[in-house]
Amino acid sequence: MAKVIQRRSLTLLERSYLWEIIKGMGTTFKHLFRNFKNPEKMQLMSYPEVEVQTPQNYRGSHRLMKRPDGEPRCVACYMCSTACPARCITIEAEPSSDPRIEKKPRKFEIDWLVCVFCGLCEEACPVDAIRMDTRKVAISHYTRKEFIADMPRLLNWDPKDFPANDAQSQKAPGGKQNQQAKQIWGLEVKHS
Amino acid sequence: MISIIYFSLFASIAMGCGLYLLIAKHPLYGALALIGNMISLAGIYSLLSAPFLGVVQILTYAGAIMMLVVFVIMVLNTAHDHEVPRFDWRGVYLVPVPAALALLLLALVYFNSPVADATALRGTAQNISQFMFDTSRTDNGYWILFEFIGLLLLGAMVSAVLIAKKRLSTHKEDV
Amino acid sequence: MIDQIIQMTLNLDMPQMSVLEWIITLGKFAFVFIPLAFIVVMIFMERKGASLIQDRLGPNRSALPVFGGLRFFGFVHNFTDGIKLFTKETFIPTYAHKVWYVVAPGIGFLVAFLTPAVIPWFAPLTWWTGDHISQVSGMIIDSDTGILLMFALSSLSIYGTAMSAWASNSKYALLGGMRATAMMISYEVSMGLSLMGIFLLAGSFNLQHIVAWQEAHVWGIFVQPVAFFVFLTSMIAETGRAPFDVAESESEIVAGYHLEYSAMRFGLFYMGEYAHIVIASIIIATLFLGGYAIPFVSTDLLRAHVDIALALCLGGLGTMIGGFHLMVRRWKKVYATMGAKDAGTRNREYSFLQFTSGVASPVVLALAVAVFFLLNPMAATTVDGTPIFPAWVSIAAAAVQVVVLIAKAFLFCWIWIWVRWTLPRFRYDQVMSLGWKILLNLALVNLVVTAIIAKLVTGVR
Repeated sequence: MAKVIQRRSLTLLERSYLWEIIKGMGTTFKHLFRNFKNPEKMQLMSYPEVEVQTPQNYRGSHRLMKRPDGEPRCVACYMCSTACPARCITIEAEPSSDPRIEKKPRKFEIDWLVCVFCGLCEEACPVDAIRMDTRKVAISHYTRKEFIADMPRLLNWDPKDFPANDAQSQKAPGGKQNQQAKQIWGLEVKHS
Repeated sequence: MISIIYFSLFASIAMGCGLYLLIAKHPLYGALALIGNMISLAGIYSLLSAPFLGVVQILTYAGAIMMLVVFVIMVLNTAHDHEVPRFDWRGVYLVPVPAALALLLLALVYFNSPVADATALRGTAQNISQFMFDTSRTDNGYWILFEFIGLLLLGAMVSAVLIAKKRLSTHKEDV
Repeated sequence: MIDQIIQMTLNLDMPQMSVLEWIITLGKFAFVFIPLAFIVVMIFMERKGASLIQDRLGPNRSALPVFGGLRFFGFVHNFTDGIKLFTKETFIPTYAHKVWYVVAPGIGFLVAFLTPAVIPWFAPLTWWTGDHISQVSGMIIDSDTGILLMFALSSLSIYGTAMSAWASNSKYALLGGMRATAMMISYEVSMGLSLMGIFLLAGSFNLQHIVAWQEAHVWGIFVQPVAFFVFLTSMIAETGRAPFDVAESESEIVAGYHLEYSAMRFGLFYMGEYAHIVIASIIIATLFLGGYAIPFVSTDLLRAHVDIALALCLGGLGTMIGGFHLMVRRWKKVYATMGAKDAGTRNREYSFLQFTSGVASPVVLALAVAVFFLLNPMAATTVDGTPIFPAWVSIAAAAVQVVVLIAKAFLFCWIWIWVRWTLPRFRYDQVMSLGWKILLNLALVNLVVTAIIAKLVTGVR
C-alpha cells in the first residue's frame, strides 16, 4: 500500500531563501563555536598516535593457531584456500611427523593485498587453525612482497594480546600455562 | 619624455594588434587582438588626461562586449574555422574605403588642424558628468538626449527579449 | 594634431617631491603584495574553519623539524603545499594551445596584483616639513576613476578563465569556462549597479572620497543595506566560490576550467581565487564598512591621539598572544588526556609555544604601556584651524588605519569561508535567475529609491 506523504508548502519566509540561509549559517557557526570551545568533545581520534580499539570479533589480519607443542594446528586440508573467494591462500602440504595427523603445511601464505577479509577461511577451517581476531586492521608495508604473510609471521602472535578466557590462545606454547596445558590435555606428542 | 615613450608603446601595440586583427586566421585570435587594441587605446586616452574615457573603454568594450564576442566564438568554435584563408581577392574591394578615410583624415588635419583645447579635452568623470547632465546650463546640455537614448536602448532590449520569447512559445505549441 | 598631442604630453612635468615623499610614494607599491600575504593566512583560516564547522581537527601533520615538530596547529601545512605545487611536474596536454595554455593562468593572478592600486589604505598623509605642508595620497593610483579602474581590471580577469578553458582543448574545461564567463558577465551588471547608490551619496568614484564621506557621515552598510547585500552576493558569485561554484562543479564537469592544469599553473588559479576573495573583502570593507576609518574617530582625532591608538593596537596584539597562550595550555591538557603515543614530543612543542607566547604577551603589553607614556604627538602648526603634525605622527596613524582596514577585510574573508561551508551549490539556472531576476532588480530599485531620498534630504545635486 502506497503511503502518500503530504508535502508541506513552503511559507513565504522559507521561500525567500534568505532566512533559511541565515538559519543554516547559524547552525554552522554553532558547530564552529562549540568545537573551538571544547575541542576534546569532538568525536575524533588522533589516529596514528591514538590506537583505535577495534572489537575482538572484528575481522582483522589472520593468525595461525598452534598446538601446545608449538606445531601449527593446520592439517593442510585446503578447505580455507578452496573457500577463499579471492584465492589469496597458498598451501603446500607435507607429511606430518605426528602419527595421528596425516598432513601439515610446509608453506602457508596469505596475500593480504588480494585478501578481501571476508572471513570465509575462518568459517571453513575444520580444526579452528586460522583466525582473524588479531584486531590489526591497518596493514602497511613498503613493498608488495612484504604483504605476503608466510607461516612464521602468521604464527608469530603474543598470547598477551588476547583475552584471558580464550584458553586456546593462552595455553598455547609461549603462553603462561604451557606445561599445565600439556598435562591437562594429555597432548604429549610422541616423536617417532 | 616618459609620456612619449608610453605613447609610442601604446601606439605601436594598437597598430600591431589592428594589423593582426586583419590577418588573423582564427577568429578568436582576431578578437583577442582587438582587445589588445582597445586596451592600448585606453592607455592613450589616459595619456591625454581622460582617464574616465579610458576606463570606460576597457570596462564596456574590452571587458563586456569583447567578452561576449569571445564567448560566441567559443560556442561556435568548429574545425573549419582554422581553414579560413588569410587573404582572398574579394577583400581587395574593401581596401579603398579605409584608404579613403585615412586620406580624408590626413587632409583634414593638414589643411584645418583642429585646435586641441586642453581644458575641453580633459575627460575626468566630473567634467563629463557636468558637461552632459548639468541642467542649469542653457546652451548644449545633453541630458534629455541621454534619457532618450536610454529609453531607446531599453525598448530595443525589451523587443529583443520579446522576439526571443516568441520563438520559444511557438516552439512549445509545435510540440 | 600629432605634434599637439606630443606637445601636451611633454608638458606633463614630474612632480617636485621631497625624499620622504618619494620614499612613501614608492613604498606604497608594497601594498600590492598584501593580497598575497593574506592568502597564506586565509588558506589556513579556510582549512581550520571548514574543519571546525564539520567537527574535525583539520590539517595538523606537517611540522618543522624543531622542538619535537613545530606544527603551529597546521599552519605549516600551507608551506608544504606550496613546496608540493612548485616541485610537481608541469604538464601540457598534447592538443592544448601551448602559448595560451601557459599564459592564461597568469592573467587572473596579474589582475590580483593590479587591483590593490585603487584601494585607499590610509587617509592622505599630511605633515609639516618645517616650511610647507607635504601631502601623499593613501592610494597607489590617486585617480578620480577610482573603483571603475578596479572593475575594468577585474573584468579583464575573465579572459584568464576563458582562455585557459579554451586553450586546454577539453570539453569539460570549455564548459566550465563558458559557465564562468556567463556568470561573471551576469553578475558584473548587478555588482556595478548596486554601487551606484553609494556613488550617488558620496558624489565620487574615488574610493578615498567615499571613505571620507563615510567617515564624516555614517558607514555605507547603514545607508545602503540592500546594496550591501546585492554587492556581497555578486562578489561571492564573481569569485566563483560556493554556493556559486558552478564553473568548477566537480560533480558535473569534473573541475571546470582548470581541469587540465597541474602543479603551479593550477596553483596560480588556486591562489588567484583567494587573492580575488581578499580584494573583494577589502573593497567591501572600504565601500560599506568605512574602510580605514575607525568609527567615531576622525583622522585628525586619531593623529592627535596616535599614542593611544598605537597603544591600543599593541595591547590588542598582546591580548591575542595571551589568548593563544591560553589556547595552547588548553590543547596541552586535551592532548594529555588523549592517551597518544607521541604525547612526549607534542608536549615539547606545546611547551615551546606556551613559553614563547607567555613571554611575548607581557613584552608586547609592556611595549603598549611604554608607547602610551613615551610618545607625545604634538601638533607642529595649525593651518585653517586644523593642526598639522610632524611626519612620524601621520605615518603612525596611517599604520593604525592599515591595521583597521585589514581587520575589517578579515571579517569579510571569514564570511566567504562561512558561506562556502554552509550552503550547497546552486544549479546553473538558479544562479542565472538569481542574478538577472532578483539581484539586478533589487539594485535598480535601490538606486531609484536612493536617488529620490537623496534628492529629498539634501535638496541639491
